[in-house]
Amino acid sequence: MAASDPDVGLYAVSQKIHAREVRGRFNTLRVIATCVLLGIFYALPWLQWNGRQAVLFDLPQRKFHIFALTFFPQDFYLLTWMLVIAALSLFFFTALAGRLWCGYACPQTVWTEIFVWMERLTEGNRQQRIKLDAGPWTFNKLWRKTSKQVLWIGLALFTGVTFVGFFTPVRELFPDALAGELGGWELFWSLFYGFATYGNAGYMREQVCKYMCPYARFQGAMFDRNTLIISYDAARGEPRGSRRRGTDARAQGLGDCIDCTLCVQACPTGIDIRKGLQLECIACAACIDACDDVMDRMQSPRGLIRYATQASMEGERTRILRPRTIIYGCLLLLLIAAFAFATGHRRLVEVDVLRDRNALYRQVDATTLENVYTIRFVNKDERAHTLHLAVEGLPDVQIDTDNAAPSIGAGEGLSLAVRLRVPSGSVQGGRDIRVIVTADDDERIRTVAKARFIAPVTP
Amino acid sequence: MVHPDPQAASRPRSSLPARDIALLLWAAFLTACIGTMVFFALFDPVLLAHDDAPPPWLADRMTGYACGFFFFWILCSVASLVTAWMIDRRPAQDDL
Repeated sequence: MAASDPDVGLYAVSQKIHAREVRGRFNTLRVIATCVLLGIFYALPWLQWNGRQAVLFDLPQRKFHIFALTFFPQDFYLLTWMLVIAALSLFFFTALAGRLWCGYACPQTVWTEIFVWMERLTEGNRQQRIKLDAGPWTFNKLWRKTSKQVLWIGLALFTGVTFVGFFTPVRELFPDALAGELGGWELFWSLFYGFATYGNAGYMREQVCKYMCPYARFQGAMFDRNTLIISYDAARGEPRGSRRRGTDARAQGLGDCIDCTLCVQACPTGIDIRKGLQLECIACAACIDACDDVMDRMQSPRGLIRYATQASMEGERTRILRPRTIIYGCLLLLLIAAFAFATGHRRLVEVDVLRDRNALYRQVDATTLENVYTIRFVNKDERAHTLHLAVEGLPDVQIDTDNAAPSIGAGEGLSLAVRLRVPSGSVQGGRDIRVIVTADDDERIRTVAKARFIAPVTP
Repeated sequence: MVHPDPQAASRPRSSLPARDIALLLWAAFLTACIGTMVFFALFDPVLLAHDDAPPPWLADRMTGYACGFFFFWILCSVASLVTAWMIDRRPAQDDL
């Protein structure tokens, strides 16, 4: 028993599943999704925007550029928010249509699709691959396996370098990579991501979905009777059995399933959908495509295996609008709207006022008292701004600085020493003040920062 | 609750198989990713080095991030490993 159990052992040495290639509506959909998603992944770092890389998570500079927007560490809450939105979307679509994500959009599915395509290109179809794996190491086998590895490793390396290209400028990274002059960490992370791609898409495949994916473990909690799942119509299919083409199956007491097992052979996770929905099912619909093809040839109607809800299988009406989807949907809309608002109304200029730690105050001369601050500006806007400083809360304040109208480039930061002077005696003790930063060329820019001015209690 | 499997008591203690270790490392990896993201959104490795607390070679941001990530990964792995090991070696009377 244990020897034939495909789950025994390490990931890589588990019994390999040779999924049969299928053609059909859902396979076409997945191929399109694969091309679009991988196209976005490989092309995105190369897009330019305003003379810089359009999407660049510039870790060394601590800035994230996403087209027109530049995010700084202060905007971290937006990233968290975005992740919450992503998670909630996943819940919403899972409640609605099951594991759509797994079947069409998950990086694991998408890269596996490409790796399997390369395997098919070099080692042939399912039968040929099974024979090749079982056979002795001939020159043919060596040649085919080597070509597969060359393609796999090539794509894995390309993927790794592209991934790093999201974090360091890709237009410098690729020439460096080709010349073999990558920096230490760039090389390390390229190989790290490349190796992960190679291992996950080449060898671990469905094991990742079965054992490693946290989503696979909890997605069942989002399912209900009205969730779209891959269903085998047992009432129509059973009792299964082979029959001659053109004979009346009903007369022989048979259902529509001819027990050709193509649905099992096509399954990338190696399950039999006819046993009902299982945890391993990633809803890729390969079995639907396989079965539809057979039904066409048997001149039976399609849909013995189909996307259906449990409710519809039991003859009830499927309810799309139900408390679960309404709650998820409303929450999602609310979060997205708030996110868009927060992003749109982000302060374009951030101002931090830090008091000089060395002295509380300084008596400049008999009539003037001074506090020293370091003011840090960050310009998050797409263009440069010249800023103006004003102070509220201090009588007759004089602002003394080396740079009265600091100009800060797009996405740049600047620190400025600022001395605030008041007539001696006009302020006693500590006082809260407000530093107001504006820009001439844009009314939207007005940032107010709080600070504290300190004077002796008795002059 | 009495264990329904009569063999359970006499079953030899399992060591953690390689697949469980892989699972453990993977969960620790995911947690470490989140930890690294939150930590370095709040703390800049370069500024951390200003007080001479970390060694200067950590002050390079890329090195700081990478070392931070591996620190979190190892930390999470150790915590998970100890948890898994202790659950695995839990005395039998706990089950009663």
